[in-house]
Amino acid sequence: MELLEVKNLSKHYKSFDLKNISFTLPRGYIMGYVGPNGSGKTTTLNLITGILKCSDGEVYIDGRTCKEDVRAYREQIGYVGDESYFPDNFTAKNICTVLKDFYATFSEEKFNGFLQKWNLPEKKQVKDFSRGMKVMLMFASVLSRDTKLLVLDEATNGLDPVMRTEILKLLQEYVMDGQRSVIFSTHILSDLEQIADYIYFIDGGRTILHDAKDEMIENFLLVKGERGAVPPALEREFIGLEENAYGFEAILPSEKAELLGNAFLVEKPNIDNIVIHFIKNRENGNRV
Amino acid sequence: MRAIKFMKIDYILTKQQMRIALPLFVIVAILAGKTMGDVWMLFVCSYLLFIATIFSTTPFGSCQRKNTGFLLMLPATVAERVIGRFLFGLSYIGMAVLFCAAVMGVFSLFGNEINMTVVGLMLCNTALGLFIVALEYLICYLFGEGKGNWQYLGNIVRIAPGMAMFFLSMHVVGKIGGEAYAADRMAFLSQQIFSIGLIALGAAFLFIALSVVISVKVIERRDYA
Amino acid sequence: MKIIISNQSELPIYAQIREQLKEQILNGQIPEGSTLPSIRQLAKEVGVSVITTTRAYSELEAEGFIATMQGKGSVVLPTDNNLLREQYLLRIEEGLSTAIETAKAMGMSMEELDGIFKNLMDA
Repeated sequence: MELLEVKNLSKHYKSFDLKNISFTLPRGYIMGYVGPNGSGKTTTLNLITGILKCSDGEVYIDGRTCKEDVRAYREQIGYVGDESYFPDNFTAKNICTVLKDFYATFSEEKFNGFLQKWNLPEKKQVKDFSRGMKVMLMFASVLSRDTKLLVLDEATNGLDPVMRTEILKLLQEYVMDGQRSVIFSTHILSDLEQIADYIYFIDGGRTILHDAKDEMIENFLLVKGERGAVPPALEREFIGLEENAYGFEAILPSEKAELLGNAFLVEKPNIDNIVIHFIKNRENGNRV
Repeated sequence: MRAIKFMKIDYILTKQQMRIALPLFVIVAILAGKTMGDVWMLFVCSYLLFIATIFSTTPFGSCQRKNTGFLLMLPATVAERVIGRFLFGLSYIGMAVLFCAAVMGVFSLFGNEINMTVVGLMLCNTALGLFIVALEYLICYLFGEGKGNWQYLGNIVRIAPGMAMFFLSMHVVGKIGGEAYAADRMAFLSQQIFSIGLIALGAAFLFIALSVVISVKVIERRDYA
Repeated sequence: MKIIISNQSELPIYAQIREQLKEQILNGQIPEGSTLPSIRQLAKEVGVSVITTTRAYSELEAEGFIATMQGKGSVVLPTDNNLLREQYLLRIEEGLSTAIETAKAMGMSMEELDGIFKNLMDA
């Protein structure tokens, strides 16, 4: 049984549809959930944590749905959002009190350890925290108890590189024992890309790609070159052709590499390149 | 038991208010007990309950969806969360009643006899207070909580029922205190008011239970936790 | 043992790890019989995904450089001479074919290239 199993998850809104999201995340691995703003990342994660009800489909964590047993389901999730989700007038001490009351596995010692390590004041109200402090406080609150799944919604946005690196290490430590997993959403991958084992890419509420990250990178080539040199047979295979006055850039499925010849610069793409060109592809298509 | 833990959360959410509410209760109670007659005591009791009904709705004001994700994510059922909130409101009424009792204590300490009619009327008043809290909460859960329109709704819900009760009490106090009230009706009232008070209390608790059930159903059917 | 990941390299990260480990095993910097860090340990230290290090290890295993035993981790196997020879041969071929391709691209004749080769050998 995989740790996280998402089956045909859908959510209908008047102006937006999240459709048929399906994947499994095995124990001990990290998944990056990527897509542009408004693509349905937050909706999906809210459906996973059970804070939002799905229109269709199921989410299983450790074989259990939220409906079956809310308490047990939520005990095993640690959630960090893109903004502080603590009430404004709470202090770290207040948060500690609540955590102690509600989570059997909460360790006050660990919590205070994090506060000290990250210089978080105990008696200052959360609303007076800086953005970075708020994020670290959220991490402190979820890492000081036993969880099986970390759900991070754009949690590292706007953090300085030092903090991002710190969080990267924390996440890798979290999955070290091979029993716990992480799913994080983001619209910019950069440093997070390296530690992700799997990538799920959505756009407009629909699945675009879903694969192990290394596979995904190998499945595509980043091609650059002079526009005039592109034969039509090749152009048809390009994904998200982006032109400027002096040249073009596009993604090409690796199995079409034989169409390339020697005229182009071919590079190994990163996930951001792939995401950008797939979105470009959708935009190009819409224009026709 | 998690309901009580949620009540505790509401006390943390409203910790600033406690600094105002408690001294206010104490001052009103001391002043009333020391200087005034039994009719005035009734007035004070209504006043305390009035304060309680106002303060009891504060947690709804701090519950925008954005900054309470932490609370919504806690491992607990909707019922536990809603009951916790009701317990918070009731605890404020409880506090008011406690202070009323203290007022009566001080009052009798000064050698005055306690009028049972007044006690009966206080029971009615308490029932009314409970009823108002349950009604306010029901309205908040039906229309306000987490929907962002609390700001508009909030002040009306907060003040209106309390005001109504306040003026109703004033009116009753005026009537009883005034000569216009016929002696025989007064006597009937004195005999029956205690049982009326008890019945009113029972009815208030029933209404609370009903409004808890409705609130839980409403929140459970809501799209998000 | 050292591993340095380059983001600029055209080689995928798992291949970078594989090659660097192979190199150090071949030149004896990682002695035979020694235990490599666990897949997860390495992933964390180097800051790459677990799948990436898993792939590097399983390819090293397939090529006969290491053996992974349950509960014991990955142990460096003795590099027999044939294997070593094969690896070095492969690398020589790779180097030479790059030279030949470059020579062809600039239209250099094979004699000229041969000349360069001999000059370098004498140097």
